[in-house]
Amino acid sequence: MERPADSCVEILERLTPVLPAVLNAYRVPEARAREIVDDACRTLLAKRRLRHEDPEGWLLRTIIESCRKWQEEEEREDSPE
Amino acid sequence: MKIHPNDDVLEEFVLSLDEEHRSLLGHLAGCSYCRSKLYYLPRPLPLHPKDALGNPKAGIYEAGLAESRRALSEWEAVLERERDDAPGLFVVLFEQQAEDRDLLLRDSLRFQTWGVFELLVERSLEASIQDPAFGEHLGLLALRLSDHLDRGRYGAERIADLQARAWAFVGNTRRLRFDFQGAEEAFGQAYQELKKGTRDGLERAIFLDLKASLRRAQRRFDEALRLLQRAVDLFLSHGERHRAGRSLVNMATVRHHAGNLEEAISSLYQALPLIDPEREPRLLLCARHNLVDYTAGLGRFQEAHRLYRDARPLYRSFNEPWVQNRRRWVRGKIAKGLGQLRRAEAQFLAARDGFIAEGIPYDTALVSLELALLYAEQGRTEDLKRLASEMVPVFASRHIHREALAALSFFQQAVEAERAGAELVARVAAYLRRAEGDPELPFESGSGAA
Repeated sequence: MERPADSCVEILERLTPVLPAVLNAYRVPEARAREIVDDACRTLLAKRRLRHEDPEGWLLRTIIESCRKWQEEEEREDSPE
Repeated sequence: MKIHPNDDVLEEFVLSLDEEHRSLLGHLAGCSYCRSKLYYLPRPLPLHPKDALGNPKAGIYEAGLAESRRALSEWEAVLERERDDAPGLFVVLFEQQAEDRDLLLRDSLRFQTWGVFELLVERSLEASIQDPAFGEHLGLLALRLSDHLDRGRYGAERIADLQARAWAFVGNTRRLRFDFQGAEEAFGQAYQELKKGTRDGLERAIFLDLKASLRRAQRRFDEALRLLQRAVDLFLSHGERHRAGRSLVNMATVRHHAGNLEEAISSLYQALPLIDPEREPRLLLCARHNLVDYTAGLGRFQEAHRLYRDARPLYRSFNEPWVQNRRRWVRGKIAKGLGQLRRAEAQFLAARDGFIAEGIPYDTALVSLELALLYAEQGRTEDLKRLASEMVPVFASRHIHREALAALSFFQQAVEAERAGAELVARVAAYLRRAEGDPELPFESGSGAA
């Protein structure tokens, strides 16, 4: 029997205890954090028919990548010309 | 730890666990889903030093995360509805004349959904095996629909990701029709869309895997292997073991085409533990069948027979001509290798008749030549002539390319003139095997041909 696919909300719920620490580690502001999480979740939802084997891992990885990208952009903007 | 712990270390570890943890370990050993979580648990990211004590700032995200869950729940319901409606809309779309479909997609808002876009892309891939031209039509239709999708609603980057996949599927259908230039263009488009997309590694790996099939068909084997290795690495790093297994099966096929059967077998042994039989039993069958075939190809017939026996229950669960004809064919090869010539002949004949009944001319030709070799080696000239005359359906087919027909015609004339010895038959057979994916490969009837 194939394991029934969890809903994306359930996947996000399972990650919720981890996410504040992740977002905080990159010091992402609250509003930007919301955008990052929403965007990653919408992408996961759009790709649900790819049947990810590890959707939590995929979502966490995508959120971390976005946080890292945001931090790099911030650092670039802050650095003296 | 990069080396495997020895038995003593493992034993010490297991004995150090209490009953509850030992039971958990037992579960982990058998559950790939839970094992895949281990790479992010325990949670590896350190808190920012300023907030390490008590992490007071982390609390600021809680309200936003609750809001994200609520919004996600709503969006999930919307997409689910679109996905439920898509098959019905697909039927409506295909009730129209081909030229009217574009108009409908352009003018009717109810078709301009993620659900319909995604379904067209998926069906493009599904259709490509049986009918590559229809698969291409579906892929291009999906791409034309994507021009009308609301970027604000679905996200421009997500649309670009799926456009990349659609172009890669179109490239794949063109590869299947030997339109390599067209395929190259489609993969170029796919790459451009990937650059505009979300940069999802999984999407990139799907692209690389399909592009590798084009390189294989172009006989650019080293490039194909490099692309597949990158796809395997990406799939594994995203916890996609099954897809990695699929790419390894593709890698085995490339190595087979390149003539490296030992390496092909090694790729299959790497693939087998990764394949999820519940998700795609046909992939498991393909891997195990190829393992039997390649092992027989190396002349290791006892081992091939053992592998064949192990795979028999799996073959039985696919009681369809396409599979059973291939099973008989490989069984015939093993029987021939083990010196069971009557059994080999019976299996080859059954496979050939099956391919004729199914209308698969190329495989009919290949198995007929296998049979011809058997007859030639035994000096059975009359049987050879009968066999050659029974190959008429092959010549009547429009699905065999010109060079292959020339090779078969050469074989037939040689049989008629009673000049078709084992060496000549083996040469024509070897040419046909190589030319299967390469219609441009010239057949030369003189010595050293193919």
